[in-house]
Amino acid sequence: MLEFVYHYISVQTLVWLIVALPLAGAVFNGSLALITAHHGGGKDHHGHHHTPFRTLASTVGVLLPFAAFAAALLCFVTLTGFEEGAPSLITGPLSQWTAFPGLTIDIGLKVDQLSLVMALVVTGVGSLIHLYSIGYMSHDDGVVRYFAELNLFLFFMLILVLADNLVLMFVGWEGVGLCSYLLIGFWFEDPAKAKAGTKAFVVNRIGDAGFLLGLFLIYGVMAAAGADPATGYFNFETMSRYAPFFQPLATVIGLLLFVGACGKSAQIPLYVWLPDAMAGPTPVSALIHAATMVTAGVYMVVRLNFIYVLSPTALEVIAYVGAATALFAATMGLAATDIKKILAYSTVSQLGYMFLACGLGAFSAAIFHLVTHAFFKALLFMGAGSVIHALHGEQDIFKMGGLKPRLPVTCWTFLIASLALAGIVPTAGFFSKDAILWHAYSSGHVGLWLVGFVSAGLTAFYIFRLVGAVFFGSTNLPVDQWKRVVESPVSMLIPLILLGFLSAFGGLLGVPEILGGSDRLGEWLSGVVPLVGHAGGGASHAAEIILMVVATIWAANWSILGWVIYTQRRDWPERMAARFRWVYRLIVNRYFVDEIYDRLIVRPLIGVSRVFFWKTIDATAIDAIMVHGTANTVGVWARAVSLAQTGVVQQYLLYFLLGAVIVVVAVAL
Amino acid sequence: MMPTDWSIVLNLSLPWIVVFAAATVTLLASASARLRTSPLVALTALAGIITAFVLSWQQWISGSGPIIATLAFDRLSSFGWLLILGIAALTILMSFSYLQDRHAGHPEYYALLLFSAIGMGVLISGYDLITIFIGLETMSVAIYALAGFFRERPQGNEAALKYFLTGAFASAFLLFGIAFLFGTTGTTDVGMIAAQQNQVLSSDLRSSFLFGLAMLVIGFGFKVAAVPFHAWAPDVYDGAPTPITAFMATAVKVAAFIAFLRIASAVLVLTGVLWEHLAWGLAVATMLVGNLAAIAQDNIKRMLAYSSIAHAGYLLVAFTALAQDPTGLSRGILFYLVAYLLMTLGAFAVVTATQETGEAADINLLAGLSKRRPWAAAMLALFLFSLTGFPPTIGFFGKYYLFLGTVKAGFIWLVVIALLNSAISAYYYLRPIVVMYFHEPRETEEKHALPLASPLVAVIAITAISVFLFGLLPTNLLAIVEHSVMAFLQ
Repeated sequence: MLEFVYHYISVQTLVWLIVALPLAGAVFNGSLALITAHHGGGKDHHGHHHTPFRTLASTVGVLLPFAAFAAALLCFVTLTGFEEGAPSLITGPLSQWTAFPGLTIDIGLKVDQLSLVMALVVTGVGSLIHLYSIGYMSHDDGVVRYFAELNLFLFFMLILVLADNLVLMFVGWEGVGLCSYLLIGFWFEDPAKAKAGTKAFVVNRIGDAGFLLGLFLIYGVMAAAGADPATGYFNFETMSRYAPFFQPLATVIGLLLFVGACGKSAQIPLYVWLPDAMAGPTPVSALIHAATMVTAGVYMVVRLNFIYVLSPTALEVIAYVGAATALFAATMGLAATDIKKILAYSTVSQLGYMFLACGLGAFSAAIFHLVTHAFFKALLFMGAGSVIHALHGEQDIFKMGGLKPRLPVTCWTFLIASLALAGIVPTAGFFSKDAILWHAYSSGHVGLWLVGFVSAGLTAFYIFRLVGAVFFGSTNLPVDQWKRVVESPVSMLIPLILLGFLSAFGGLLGVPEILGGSDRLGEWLSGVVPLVGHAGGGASHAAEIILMVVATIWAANWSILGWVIYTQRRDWPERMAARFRWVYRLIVNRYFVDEIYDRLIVRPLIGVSRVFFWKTIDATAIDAIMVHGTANTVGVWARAVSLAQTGVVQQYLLYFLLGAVIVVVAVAL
Repeated sequence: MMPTDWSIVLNLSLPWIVVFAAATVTLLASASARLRTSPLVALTALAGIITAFVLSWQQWISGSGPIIATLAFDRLSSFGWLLILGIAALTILMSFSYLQDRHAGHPEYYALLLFSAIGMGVLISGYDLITIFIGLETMSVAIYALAGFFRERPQGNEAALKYFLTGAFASAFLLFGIAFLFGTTGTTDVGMIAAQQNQVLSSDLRSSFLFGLAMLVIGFGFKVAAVPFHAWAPDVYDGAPTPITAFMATAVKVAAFIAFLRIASAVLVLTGVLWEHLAWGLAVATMLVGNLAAIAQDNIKRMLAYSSIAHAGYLLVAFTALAQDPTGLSRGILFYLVAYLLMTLGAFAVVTATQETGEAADINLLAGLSKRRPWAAAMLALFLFSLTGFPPTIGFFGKYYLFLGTVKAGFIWLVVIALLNSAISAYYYLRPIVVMYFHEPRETEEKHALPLASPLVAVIAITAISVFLFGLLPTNLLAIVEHSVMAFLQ
């Protein structure tokens, strides 16, 4: 079988096929969307909505991502078949983007252990979410546009992870930002949703400014280091070869790039856009705002680990920001009532864990958690989507309840994902979260470990609060409505089940040695990311076991508590909220962060813009004085000049004569 | 001096003789009442021009000929003459339906057009100031008559008289200048004047010689409508029949500029800084007055008149720098002349089309043209964009080569002024487009217009295709222009 494939396709071709296939889907569906744009959705004689090319667009839009996944899988199989220690491949410049003296940027792809893991996750989870979308979007007229944008997202995400240089990666980075904006505001007729898209875009711009400044500094460093421009200053290979030259600026560059990561991966202080991003269709939330795009910041930090390891300060900052975000977002998840918002805060919180790992230098642990999180968080979102789909758009968890008998598949898969999120043995989340906490503890950052530990408890509580309120206990739905709730179609359930398996057993990728595993993922990544020195020795082995047990008990304890309270004692929380009213108000209003940003930044900015930049600079100085002033001046002169045209020929001759005198005086005298 | 071999002269001037014969035959036809209104008259004129065109093209291909009998038969002459013949042919096509619509089938009209063209040919080829003067007057007298061709129209009479009076005035200056040059150098031959120039300039005849040159510049300044010798142009362009306005705005300017180019590169540039300052002043004044006054016009013919003044100003920009890079700038000037004549002829052709059977040329009458005559409106828009200098039209490359050469010669501020003027011009060129496409027509006007006469359509099509084609692929035209220039500079 493989021989047959290799006969026709080289590995290089496979690599660019991974990227090209989703692009082909985007182009195809984009063209379809343009063609059908003028038709609009109509209703047939049965009163059903019909969108032309719905089936065609869905088929192409789903098959091509699966084909990309197959290509990525083939790449993986091929590269692991290589000689030991060389499972990487660089396509070289597929095309040259710019070539100035002093700046060459090629378009090239790089497949190594790290990018291959990312590509597999992106195409794998991405394909499942595409498949899921068919069912979820079956009542929507914009389905052609939806698949065009979703395919385009996949293309840009793959450019981001497979780029062989930082600038091309930035292209993907901006491209996914664009698609994120488009898909958050997918239902743009609703001003609130369009506004959420704009908010995401604007907040990400702040981060991107940091990213760009980092790029400029890298250019400066490479130029000063005397690197050959022809090899591409931003090429990861070239950059890592010149890594020592980054030493003096590593902290600044690292932190500037991290500002970009904070924007993209929703870390303090730029996390505010992600909860609002839930305005998009739920599969979009699953793909972009949980499994893939938001992890781009983590990927970038891991990819540039050779810069970050030079700056303990930058790593320290990343670790503390990550830990703070993990805790902060988890508390906000406690009080939210919108099923998707809870998951959004959870995503922010889990991304915080990943950055915590990065900050501790445990890059492979960060990637491990990234992968498992992609599995269980995508599953959680799609499960939530299944619930919302079944309830025709209801998102308040306290208007649900007791849905287990009506939505069995959704319920059980959701439960598995929740166990994984809570970090209960032996689900995927347990191993990856434990790896991070163990790194925090063993590297002597007990404070950070404690924050992560507390956050893990909160995580367990809020997710089982959700499970309890939605699936168990008595229902808050009217009985007849509850009876009419039906399970989602098979195309939506297959992804749930597959991801359920991955959430349950995905941890096997990185079972630590202490439990008889060999941390296969860590080993696989060791060629790309530095292995952090563990605090070895028997005593710490014991500590590792103890911490593991404590963590599991801790998480289980909070899980049960959350579950019990929200299935059987639903009046408790209200009493608690009444008792600690100010705490509750603080949390339920998300610490008033949005309001603080609004007062401190947005409004002053708008005020200055309105009074100074608009009214003074634009309206008065530019429009009135410069534009209209110039036009009026020219107009006055025009009238003055044409006044000379009296029609009297004697006067014309007078002009002639005066002109002649001037010419003669100028020339002859 | 070598005796002139008249057989060579006869052979070389064959194109003129053909045109002259056609003009004579056309004129004789006016004796017959039946022939007066026949399309045969226009066809004869056209046939003569086309024959001459083919002959001249062969002359161009065979390379530069000698300077003989006070005439230069070089490639510059052939090229200029080809342009004049092309303009004349298009003018005849444009005039045909124009005259028919006004129930006037006048053979004299075509005869005068051809005589004027011959004058232009002599003007372009003239290598002696007297010959140049004769060419100039032959051209002008015919045009004076054409401007007032419709005797019953007072505006036409006014135009003709104004043109004649100011023209006579200017001719006096020109002749005066020629007299001074003859007085100081003892010759009227351009080449010999150039040869003696340095010697004369260092003698005590310097002032008189320079005075003669100044008069010469004034005389040509009048013909190309350079400020402040321009005041006649708007009134005459407005009053003359539209196809004649087109002919005046293009052929007269092309002929005068090519003759001026010959004299300027032989004689004027030798005065160095003096010429640069004078041309600088003329160019800036011409551009500014032309562009500013064009803004205030409500009549499209007057607007195009000022526009043609402004374009003369752009050309004078290149004349300023002529001494620095004669080949490059002459090339730019000739290319610009081709661009200018194509887009101006096209614009006037569309104006002729919109005038139907009247003479009205108010810009507001164009309202709704985009619906009434969508093609004509689109083409006028194309010509106006080209006049503004938008790519991909020939107007863009015209300005590009012109200003590029001037910048390279070091006149950066002059080009900055020219570009600012170009920006001003966008206002009045875009105004008719706005009116055509965005203003509702007055209700009284008929929604559907009659189909246009095919000769007029042909003119619009030929000019539009050229404007667009040379705007995309200017290299062929540039090569022809380059060959035309190289010969005369050696």
